[in-house]
Amino acid sequence: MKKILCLILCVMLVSSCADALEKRVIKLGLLSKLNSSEEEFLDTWKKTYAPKNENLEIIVKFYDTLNAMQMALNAGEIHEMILPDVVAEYIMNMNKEFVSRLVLRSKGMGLAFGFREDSKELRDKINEALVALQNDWTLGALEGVYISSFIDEPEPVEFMKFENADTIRVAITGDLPPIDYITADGRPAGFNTAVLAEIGAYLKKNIELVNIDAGARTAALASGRADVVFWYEVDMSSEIQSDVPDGVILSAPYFEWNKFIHLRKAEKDHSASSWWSMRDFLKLYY
Amino acid sequence: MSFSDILYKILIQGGSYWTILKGLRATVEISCYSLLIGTLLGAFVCALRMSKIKILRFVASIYIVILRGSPVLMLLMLMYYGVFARSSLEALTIATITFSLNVAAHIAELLRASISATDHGQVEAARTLGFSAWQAFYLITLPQVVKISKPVYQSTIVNLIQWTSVVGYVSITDLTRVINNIASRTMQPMITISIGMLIYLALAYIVHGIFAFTDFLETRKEAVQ
Repeated sequence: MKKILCLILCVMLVSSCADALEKRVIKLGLLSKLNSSEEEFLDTWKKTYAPKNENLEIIVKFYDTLNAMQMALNAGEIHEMILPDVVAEYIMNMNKEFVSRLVLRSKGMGLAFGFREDSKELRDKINEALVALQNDWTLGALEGVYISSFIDEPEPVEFMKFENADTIRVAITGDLPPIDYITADGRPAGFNTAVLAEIGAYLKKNIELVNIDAGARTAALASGRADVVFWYEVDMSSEIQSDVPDGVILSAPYFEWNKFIHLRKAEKDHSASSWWSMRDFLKLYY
Repeated sequence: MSFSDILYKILIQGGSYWTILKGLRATVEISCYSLLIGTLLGAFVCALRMSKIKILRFVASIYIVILRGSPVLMLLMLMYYGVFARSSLEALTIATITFSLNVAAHIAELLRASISATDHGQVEAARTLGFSAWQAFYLITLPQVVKISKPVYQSTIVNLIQWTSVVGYVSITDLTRVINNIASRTMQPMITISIGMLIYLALAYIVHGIFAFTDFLETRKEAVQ
């Protein structure tokens, strides 16, 4: 009898050890990168944030749109989605089903306009306009209106018209609120369009907005259907790859953030989500 | 936020319903024009495919194989960002051309299959009775082809309406694009996309209703005769 009990205890001990050693898989969702696959991105990401916990396996999944990523989260296909803080805060404000975990980065990320390689002149002009807008605090003021007070959904800006002036065709996705979204009456709005209106006024050029799918950004640029595309994500610290495909050059970043937020579904019973505890989370990043 | 508040935000607030209707109009416009042009082009391709001249049959076969075998989104991107990239044609026109070309290939095969299913002996009998080739086709073959191809033609129309949901890639704000924009703004993708699906379903049922109505008229006509 003693032997049997001993054997059972041994089996229980071994199985509990095996459980403890078993790798836990964490699936994280991100907006698609235009210049790398999920695996390539994960490799670079791991170099920056090498998991300190050996029992954690991270899988990254890319989604073309926020909607697709949000639905994947709802369906349990991913456990969390990683978003810039302003976007995550917008989502949490609009949909109370989501809660956040804050990740601080030492250096920030930025958004920039994308151009074809042969549009260096236009890129330089827009850079010049961005510097001017930064110096006269216009960019800061627009951030205050369109990002800090996004709850009020500010009215879309009106673009100035210049007779006999060139038109810059700008492709937008409308899929990164409150930076870039489409209002209820179908007009492009958000921080991006406000910045663009100011750039148009500074350069005295007409601006035409074209709403396209995020996946068609580079095709629109390469084919000449658009002269400028926003947005492209840029890593200001060069720790991870910037989101720039070949043949595309970028403007100076016009908006920066240094916080990413992990968004997850709010659960009534938080113990149910112990698979990805705060301790694991801290071990991953710090 | 209650469910009715969410619905209000998605459908009514700020004139959302008007934007949805405009998107619906773009979807219906592309579908109708593509169907019309695609049917005519499909009939022409079918004639080539059934021609006695070998080279014409070969050209039609190649056309059908390529167009039926390639994803419509790829074709659309190729046309908009490649073939017509430097042209002044509007995105809506390019989308209509693309969908017409695609649906023509499907309709050509559908018509060929329907014509093959009719009894050729009837045409020969008609010709023996003095009918011209056109009369034999118009009075004997065509009514049967219409009857045989009707159910598949109906599903081709429904498919076409669904295929148009990719036009957002070429800067057209159709129903799908509007629904996605609303979902991004309101952060309620499940409900918004469900509403979008219901609208597409309604379109499919309208098509179904039109065909059911024509069937009803036909049955009544036959009963009167």
